[in-house]
Amino acid sequence: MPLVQRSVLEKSKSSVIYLVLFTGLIFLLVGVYKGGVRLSELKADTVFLPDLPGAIFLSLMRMTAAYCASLVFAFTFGLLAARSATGERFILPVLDILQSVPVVGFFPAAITFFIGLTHGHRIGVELSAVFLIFTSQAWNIGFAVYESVKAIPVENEEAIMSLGLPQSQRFLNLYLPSSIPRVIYNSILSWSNGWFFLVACEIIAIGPVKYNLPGIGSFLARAAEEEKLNLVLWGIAALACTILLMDIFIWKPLQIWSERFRQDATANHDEEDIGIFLELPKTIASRLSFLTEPLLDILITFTAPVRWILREVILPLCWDLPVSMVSNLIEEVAKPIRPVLLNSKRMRVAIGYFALGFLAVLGMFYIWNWFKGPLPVVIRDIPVGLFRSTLRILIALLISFSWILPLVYLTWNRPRIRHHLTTLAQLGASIPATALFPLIVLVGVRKLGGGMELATLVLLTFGIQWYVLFNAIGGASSIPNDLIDATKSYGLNQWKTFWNLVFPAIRPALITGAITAWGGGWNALVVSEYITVKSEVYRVEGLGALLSYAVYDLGEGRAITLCILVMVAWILFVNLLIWQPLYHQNLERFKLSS
Amino acid sequence: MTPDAHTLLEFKNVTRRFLLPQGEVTVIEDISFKALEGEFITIVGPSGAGKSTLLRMMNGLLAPSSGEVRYNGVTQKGINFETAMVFQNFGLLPWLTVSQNIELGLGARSKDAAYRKSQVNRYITKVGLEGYEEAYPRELSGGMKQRVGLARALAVEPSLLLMDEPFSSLDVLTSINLRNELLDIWSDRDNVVNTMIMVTHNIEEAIELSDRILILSNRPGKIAGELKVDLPRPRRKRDPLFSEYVDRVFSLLA
Repeated sequence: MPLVQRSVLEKSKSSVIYLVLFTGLIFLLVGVYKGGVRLSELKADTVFLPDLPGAIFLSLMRMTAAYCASLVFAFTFGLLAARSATGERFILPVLDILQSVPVVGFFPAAITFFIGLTHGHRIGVELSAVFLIFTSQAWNIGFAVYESVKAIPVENEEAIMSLGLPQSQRFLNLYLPSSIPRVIYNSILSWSNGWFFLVACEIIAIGPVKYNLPGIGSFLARAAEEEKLNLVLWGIAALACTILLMDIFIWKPLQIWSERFRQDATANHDEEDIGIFLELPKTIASRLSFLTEPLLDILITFTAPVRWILREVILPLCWDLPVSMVSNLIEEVAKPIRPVLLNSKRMRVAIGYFALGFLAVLGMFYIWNWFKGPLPVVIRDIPVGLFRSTLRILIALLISFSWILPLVYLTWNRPRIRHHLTTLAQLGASIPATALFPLIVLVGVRKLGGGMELATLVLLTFGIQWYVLFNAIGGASSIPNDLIDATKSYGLNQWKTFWNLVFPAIRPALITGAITAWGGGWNALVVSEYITVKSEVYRVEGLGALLSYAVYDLGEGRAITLCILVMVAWILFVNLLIWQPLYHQNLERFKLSS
Repeated sequence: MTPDAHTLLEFKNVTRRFLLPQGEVTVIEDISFKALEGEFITIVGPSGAGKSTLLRMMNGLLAPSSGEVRYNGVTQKGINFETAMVFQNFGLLPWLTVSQNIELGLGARSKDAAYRKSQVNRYITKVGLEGYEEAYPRELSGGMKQRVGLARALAVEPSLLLMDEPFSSLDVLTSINLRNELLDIWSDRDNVVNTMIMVTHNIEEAIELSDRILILSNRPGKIAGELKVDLPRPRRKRDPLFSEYVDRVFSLLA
């Protein structure tokens, strides 16, 4: 289940300005690919049950590689954004845009770059799969690093600076530890996001080219395609077990460990309550601490020499030395023009606008050239598709609200029931909804004849209801006790209490849930509006289906570009004009300062 | 203080401006002064007068917008390794133990692990934190945290100690104790550091501790006045001469 906690909301104002930049980016991603790369296919054999352990292992390896790349990316750009004003101005909007581009939108880039570069070798296909998973994991960790570094108390930073430590030591002693709690929290989200899109990432197809990589994602998709229902069920069970085990043995111990890196002693309750945190694994993890803790100690002892070399030799040589050389060089070069640059703010602004304008003109010219020929017919369907997809997400949101609000009404003052409910919901949410998609299509559409429109709606609701649920539960559990006592003391009945206290109190949380669902919904939509089972395409009319069609069947760069552009612009537009004002208005009126 | 004492730190026509959303603001304007070796100087002034900015330029955390900061006659650029700083809210890293926090600054200055260890132990003893070597800052009281901050600064054996309202987040009794210990450290000939500059908003504290008080005026910060405190130590607040000094500082501030 994707839970990109960081909403597009806050930073979307500047994002609009950078839509120009974004256009250029898309052209870089898609432009090079013009359907010319035709490569031999990796032949897919039929799936058998014994393939399952290997598939799980390979998928895990891919996820780990993508996660490591995400960490490097996140720390590089998160730190750059947090430490320099210019970096902040450029990196944040770009990150914001990137996180609203659906994973499928990165296909052309992946194909062109990695597979083209290795001439269709297996390594190239693997690399592009890793890259695609990376695009579902990296952005929110980048925001996590940025926010953590921004939240460091000024005095702590000054203290480190005043001691004159070199940059790498400042990183090791201050920026890295400060980022750990948020990075771990976001890593958990990123991993569930990665699992969610694994199905899409292991079957890389663009136009006539299609690659199947052995892994749990393609296992599920192919089992469904061959209509082997029992294999689909086995696959889902194996995936759920893997996720649960990782949660118990890796994420929960890491999360407990990360508490010591908080600046203040009190934990952030937003992060505690909302999310995929299974209470059950947490208890199991703390029961198992007699096992995991010595293991951690052994690990720490054995890596000590490595860490020493890293700290004393590699970092000073590979980081501090080049940095000081480059900054000295810049100092020398910039000396003559420095007074002009420093003293005239207008000059810098002018240079900035000139550069932006130049890029925009260049982009326009490029677009003009690219779109000169006759356009593919599919783009005529974009407006209708956009409307229908938006409607679909809104209906899915309505469905979610229609069962979650009564649930909150029944459980808000019964902590025990709510606790069990949360555990149950977290178990459900930990299974990536995409894994269920083939099952729903197989059973719902093919066997029961329920129709694809309904199936899409079910899939979509499965993908986004958790955002609303966890936010609602989190909101309800943070209502201060004295307010509850006050309403009780006046003898308000259950309904009146709910209407006068609980509902207003959880409104900001509900809106947050809706906003996150809106952003994540589009991403889920691309996967759920268009599914191939038994070489038969099941699709509904919608922007997500259009994009999938443009990528999988047409392989037409301009159609892909237009679909992504319209989608991202629409997401940001609605955020800016509807969600953001709504959120702020509600926060102001219904904030509980406790 | 002998008149021909060595000049340790010198500010020459230093101005500092900040670029804020509402425009450029001059916080420090054309300040010149000298700090002699062995002096204890306090800087007082209304809040927002730029006291902390001034202190941060002495350490090199901030560079002047114009003018120069000289140390031992040399124009400063970047962090001055001869200085060390103590912060109002301690500036301790919560994930490091007391010893690790104190060792932090030594790491930038010495590769010799044995030397670092002995320095840490020496200054832990000096500030009276024996037994708390492996404690984490969150387990300490405010007064003890500031002792760690002081030990971290002293351990790098600076020739000039800079303090930014070091006692203002401590309770009254703790700050009385720490003030006395600070004076002991200052007058102790064994210590490398014998020059101290402290920012405070507490006028009595300034008179009790320092040889000389610099009084800053508000926005932009300029030196509104300078006062030599010629009282024998230990100084007592009940002393009528002490009150006279308080009045003089107040009149300079107004």
